[in-house]
Amino acid sequence: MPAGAGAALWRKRSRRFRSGLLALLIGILFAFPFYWVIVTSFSSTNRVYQFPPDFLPGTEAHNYSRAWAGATWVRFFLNTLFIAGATVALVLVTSLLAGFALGVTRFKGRELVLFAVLSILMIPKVVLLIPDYVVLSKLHWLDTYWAQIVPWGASVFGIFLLRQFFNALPQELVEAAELDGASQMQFLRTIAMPLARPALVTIGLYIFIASWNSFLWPFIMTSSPHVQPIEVGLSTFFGTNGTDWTGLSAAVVFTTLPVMIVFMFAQRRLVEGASATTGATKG
Amino acid sequence: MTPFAQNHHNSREGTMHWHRRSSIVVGALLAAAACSYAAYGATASSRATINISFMEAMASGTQKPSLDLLTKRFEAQHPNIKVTLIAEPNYGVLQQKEQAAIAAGKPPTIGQAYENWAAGYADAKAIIPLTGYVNSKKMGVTTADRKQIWKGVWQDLFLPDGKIWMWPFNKSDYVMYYNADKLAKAGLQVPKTWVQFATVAKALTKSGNWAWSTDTGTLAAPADGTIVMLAMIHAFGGTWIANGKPTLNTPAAIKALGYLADLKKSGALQIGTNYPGETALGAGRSAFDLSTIAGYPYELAADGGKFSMKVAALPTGRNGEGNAMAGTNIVIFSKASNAERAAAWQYMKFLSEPRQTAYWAEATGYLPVTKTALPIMKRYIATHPYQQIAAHSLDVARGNPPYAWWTVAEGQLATALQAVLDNGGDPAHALAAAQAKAMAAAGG
Amino acid sequence: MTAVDAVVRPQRSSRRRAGRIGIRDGRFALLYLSPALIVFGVFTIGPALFVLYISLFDWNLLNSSLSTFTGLHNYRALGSSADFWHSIVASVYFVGCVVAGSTVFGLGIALLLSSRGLVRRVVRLAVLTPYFTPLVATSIVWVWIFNPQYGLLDSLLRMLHLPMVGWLQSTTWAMPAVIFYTLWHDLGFTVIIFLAGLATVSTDLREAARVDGARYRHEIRDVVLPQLTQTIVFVIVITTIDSLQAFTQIYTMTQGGPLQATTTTGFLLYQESFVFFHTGFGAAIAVVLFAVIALFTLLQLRVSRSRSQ
Repeated sequence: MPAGAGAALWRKRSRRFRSGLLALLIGILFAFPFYWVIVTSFSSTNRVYQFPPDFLPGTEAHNYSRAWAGATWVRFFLNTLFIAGATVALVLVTSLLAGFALGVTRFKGRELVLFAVLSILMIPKVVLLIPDYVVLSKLHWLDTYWAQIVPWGASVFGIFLLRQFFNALPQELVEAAELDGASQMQFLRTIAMPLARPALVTIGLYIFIASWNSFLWPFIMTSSPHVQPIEVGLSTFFGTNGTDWTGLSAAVVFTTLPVMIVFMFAQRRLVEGASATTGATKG
Repeated sequence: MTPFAQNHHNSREGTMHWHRRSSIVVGALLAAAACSYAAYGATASSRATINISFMEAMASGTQKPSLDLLTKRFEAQHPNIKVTLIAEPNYGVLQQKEQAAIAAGKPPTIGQAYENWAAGYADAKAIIPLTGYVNSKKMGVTTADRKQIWKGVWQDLFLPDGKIWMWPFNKSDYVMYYNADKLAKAGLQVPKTWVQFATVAKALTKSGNWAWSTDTGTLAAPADGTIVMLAMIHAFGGTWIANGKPTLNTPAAIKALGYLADLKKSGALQIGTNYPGETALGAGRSAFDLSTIAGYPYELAADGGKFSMKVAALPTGRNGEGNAMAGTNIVIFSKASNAERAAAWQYMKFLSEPRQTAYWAEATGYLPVTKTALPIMKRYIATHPYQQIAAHSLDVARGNPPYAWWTVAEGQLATALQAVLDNGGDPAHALAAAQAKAMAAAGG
Repeated sequence: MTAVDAVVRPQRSSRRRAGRIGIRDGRFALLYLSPALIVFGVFTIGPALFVLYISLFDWNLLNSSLSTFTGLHNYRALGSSADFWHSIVASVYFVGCVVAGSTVFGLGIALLLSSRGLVRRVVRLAVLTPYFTPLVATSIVWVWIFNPQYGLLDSLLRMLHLPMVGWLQSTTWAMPAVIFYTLWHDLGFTVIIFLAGLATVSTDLREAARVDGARYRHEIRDVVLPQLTQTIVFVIVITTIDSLQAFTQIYTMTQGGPLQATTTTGFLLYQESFVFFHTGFGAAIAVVLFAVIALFTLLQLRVSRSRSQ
């Protein structure tokens, strides 16, 4: 029945075309604000306020030099990178160990611990700012990298995801390892961890973004630019007496661009990582 | 303080054990004695370096380098005192940091504070009164010098207990920025009264242009619109507080809000966020912005040299000019040792002295806290006449009432503005609601 | 390295067979849990218990010796506070829309983008990028777009001769604007999760359905969705928890205004604790918010469990 098949193929093609068009529209909707930031960042102040608006970028590169001179961006950027990276590393270690304990080993009160850990996710974090400030002050960690890394060094999300993952590991795998005489740590390191790599990628991504986005925390817990993240630099553009829209836009461009470029190269791996995670969990 | 806190405070005060109260009095006396003793010690013979820290929010633009420079000069004059500046990005973060640091038992030596913050700090015994230092023969301020401090600034240093708890630092008040070209072109005079302002504003509102943009502010973050409303209340003959309680719905307040509602309805007033006033004025869309004099550099940047932007005093009402003071004072936290307190006082006093306050004003756009700075600033004022206009307004300008609950009252006023200007509410009704909530917060 | 490799590859010769600890032996579980538990204990659980404690006080943050025990007073005050109930309504509005939007649009966009092709790859990048940008930076960009006098959105309306809207100034539009921004920023995350979920949906079954002549709609409903139940529940739970605590975008875009229209319970908590410093009252809000989140999560898990059974 070639005719029917042809019609089906045609239907499929046209659907693919329509959905491609829809995808394109959605893509424009998502990307346009970025384009708009670029337009604003190259505009003179006057141009920004005119009507009708200009949809093409101007040529005012001096917004960039002004914004660049406004803060020690390289330092802020490296700080952010270091804090986010170290937090991710710490979270991966704590999550792997805890996920292993909750997902593989069997002990009394396992469900209870799991539930307790899950409930931590539900504590509104804003209200912990002052008690945590007091704790950090007692530890003499205020205004250090420690204050921005260690308190975020364990993640319920990470533990839960790895627990699910480990829980679903086939029993034969565990038995085979036992037969080989592997210790728990050997099993975790050589068998469970490599298998969990996609899950680790997902967790790493989530934590990295969370760290990247933290806002009130670094303001309250630190004061010196040499340990502060990029948000602090951005905040100087909405000062107490006015907002420098064009300068802010330029700063947004050059603080976001590196992340975008990294992401452009990493995106396939990230999505593959995420899919492998759920795939493995099912297996 | 919670709205409920005040009640409990009062009942606490009543049942507080006698010996506890007396011991506080004794402690205070001892501390006062120790202070004056240490004061002599610090200036006369102390060799060891005294470290003090200053938590402040002077982080943007020319503020940071200027404060750095003044601090270096101070250290050069006082080789045994070392001042560490702890700069925070804005007042919101500054306040949160100060609160957190006090709660953790490790406050800085001194910090910038608004009057209502200071009231809360004093309630918790977290700061010390400065009356002893101000009156001190050795390191105080002479009566003649005191008279030179602007009236509004001086009154602003006291808490309701009649003691001086704060010392002035970065002061500003509200002025009227206007596009002189626009007014000239329309053949209009610069308005001197609020009545004239409305007439001029409406005359300027045509063909996609309007007269004035402002931000009503919100409960959590009052803005220029809220403060201008406060200034208008005074100009219209009303009060902000009376007998230690808020009075947000006086007839003058209702009239002022009605006035703004009328401007809004006519299209002459537009509401926005993130400093809409300077944006609209700078874009040539509006003709006025009512904002603090400290915002002058931003207003100038927004206008980009396209037109002649000028500054005048706020319009007057039947009660003359009403104005609101912006900017902060400095307080000394009570954890500081006597030597640190004395060193801190010298630093605070140094910053307020004519030469320094003049330098600070010229560099940042804040106002000199004393009249004696004006002769020093003669050359500067010749090119920046607006500074003198704004400085003279400091005689009538009022700072935040020194009560911890004022934060809530001011926020409620912002809410009333939103209700009326953005959402068509009735002024009397909105202000009554704001007054009720402010009253609850004030514990009455 | 695949699982099979790991198993088949001869491990270090099997020794210590007797007396060694089995893989599933739980005697060291606590040791493995301890790094995470210490971090949680010191920085979350301890402080949270402290918050629970001070919720029973008229707490003086600056000088705790001036605090007075007031029992459940803060909770009673909360119950009779119109602002609190208003914030609950705002939260339900915000959370409901964000969760529904994230799930429906997240799944929809993931379906659109799951096939290969250059266009889809580029679009995928566009959709995922906002999630990687700092909330502070991009929410302020949107404030600019929503600006009533010069913003892009109102300029477009004006060019179309439509009435202009003060998006963030209007009690009607402020919440939709904040929700729109939140979806714009966060959809990337749900799209990743759904793309991952979709990759595991059996292609055989989808093919079979297609051969049977099932329409696309039916293919999705009957074949894809049932296999995605787990993923959907995960997305709903995570977005519920996140959006109940959402704070930054409300802070930068509306400060809870106008007229508390965007004061969710999460923002009210910030306002009471850090603007007005009503510490005890703020603590009570936190405790109630915790209870609400816990209840919701349990409910969602219960529902999903009964569904999957």
